[in-house]
Amino acid sequence: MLKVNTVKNNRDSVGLAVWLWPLYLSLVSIVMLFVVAGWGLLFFLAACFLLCAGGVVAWVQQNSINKLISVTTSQARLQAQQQFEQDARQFLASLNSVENDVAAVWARQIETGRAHSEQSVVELVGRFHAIVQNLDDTVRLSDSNQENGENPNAIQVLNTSAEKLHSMVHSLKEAMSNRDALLQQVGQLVSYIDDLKSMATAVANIADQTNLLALNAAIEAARAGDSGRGFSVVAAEVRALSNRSGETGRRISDTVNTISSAISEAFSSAESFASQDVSRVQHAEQDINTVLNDFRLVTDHLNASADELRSSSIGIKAEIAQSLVHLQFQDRVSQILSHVRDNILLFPDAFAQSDALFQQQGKLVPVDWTSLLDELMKSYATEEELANHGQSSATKANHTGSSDDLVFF
Amino acid sequence: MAKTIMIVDDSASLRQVVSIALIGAGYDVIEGCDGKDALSKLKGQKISLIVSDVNMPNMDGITMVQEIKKLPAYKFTPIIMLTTESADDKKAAGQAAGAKAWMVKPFKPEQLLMAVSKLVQP
Repeated sequence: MLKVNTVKNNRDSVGLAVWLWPLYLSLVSIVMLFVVAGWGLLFFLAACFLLCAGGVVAWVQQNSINKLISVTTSQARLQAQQQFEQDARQFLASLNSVENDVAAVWARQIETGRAHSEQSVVELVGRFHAIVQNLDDTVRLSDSNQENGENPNAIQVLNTSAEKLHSMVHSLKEAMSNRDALLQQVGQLVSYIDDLKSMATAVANIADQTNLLALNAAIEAARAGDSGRGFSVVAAEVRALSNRSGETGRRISDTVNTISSAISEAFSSAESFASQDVSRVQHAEQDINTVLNDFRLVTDHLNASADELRSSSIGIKAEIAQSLVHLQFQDRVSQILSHVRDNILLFPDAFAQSDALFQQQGKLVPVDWTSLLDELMKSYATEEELANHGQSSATKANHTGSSDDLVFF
Repeated sequence: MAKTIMIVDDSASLRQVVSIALIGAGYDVIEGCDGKDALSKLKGQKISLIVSDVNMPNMDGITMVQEIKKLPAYKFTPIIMLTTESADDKKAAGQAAGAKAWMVKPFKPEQLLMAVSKLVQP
């Protein structure tokens, strides 16, 4: 088109300059004739002739120039037309390349991205679900152990041990109490020792008195003479018996004294041991309480840690379970990418229609973008796609209908 | 014995999320990746309920519901449509095909379980 305009402009400028030259020459000739010959009939006739000749030559020249320009312009227009058709074919060929190569590549790239994303999210969901199950098992096991008493925790062991140890201390205290009662009974034996001593003294006194009686009897028997001889034998035997009785009384007294000393020593030793035992049991009880308290502090801490761990497990489980719900975004992303992929493949058809019209009728018809956009909108399934398409809120509301998440029919 | 529910969706991740929710609630689950796949897996199975997407390759959800309703064994099996579509015309098409409920993604698991327990026969 530019070339055609240039030719036309050239024709205008060239035409003015060339085809008027004969007229200019005839005017110059008339002026020169006037200078040479001056006014006159001859001059007038010559001038008319020159003017007519100049006009005729100028007219002839103009016609021939116009013909030349017309031929040149037609040739230029034809060349421009051919060039335009060649350019249009190249352009449409490049669009064919978009159809066959670029759009297909875009669609494949989008599909690859969508598939990778889908696969990753599936793996992610699987891993998250495994974590949730592990946490669930841990919490359930912990609850089950607490309920059934299986695998008792440290606090239960501590409480059982404390109970057993306190029971043992109680048994020791009971044994000590029994031993005190026994000692008390042994102490009462000491009072019988005095009785035994007085009884031994009484025996000795009786023996002394018997000995004295036997002595008197022997004196009386001696006085009686022969008639008292038998009696003197009896008196001697009684005296011997009284001596033996006195001896026995002394031995009893000695034995009682020995027993008394032994009992006193044993009692004293037992009392001393009892007092030591009380002190030992008290120390043992204190030590047991100290150990149990220390152990209780540790178990309380462990128990608190276990509770915290359990509580954290429940919290993490809930968070991950919620994350699983949020991973549904992949479905929306996948749908949107699938629509973009499919819609990209609509473009080649749209270009193909323009191409076919050009090939058949030689007309370049613009792509029908409005129909194409309407076609794209039909494929949308999410509100985001409609919003991105630039739908007004009213149109969008009509399209999306009710906002209820769940409807029963 | 646990009730069996079929999940039909072309998105593997969504099938997984729905399965986790249903298995956690004590249901057995069978998965189908589109309407055609679901119909082939349906035969011979005792299914208490079907949860299906709408937009799927090979056979879409609405067509699948229409086909299932032609099968005497599954004529009365309740079907929940679980989809990103929320247009009234789509819902009407689902209802006309024989679906019992329409649920829009993304869904809350407790809401899905509520709908399932409401529709599954005791």
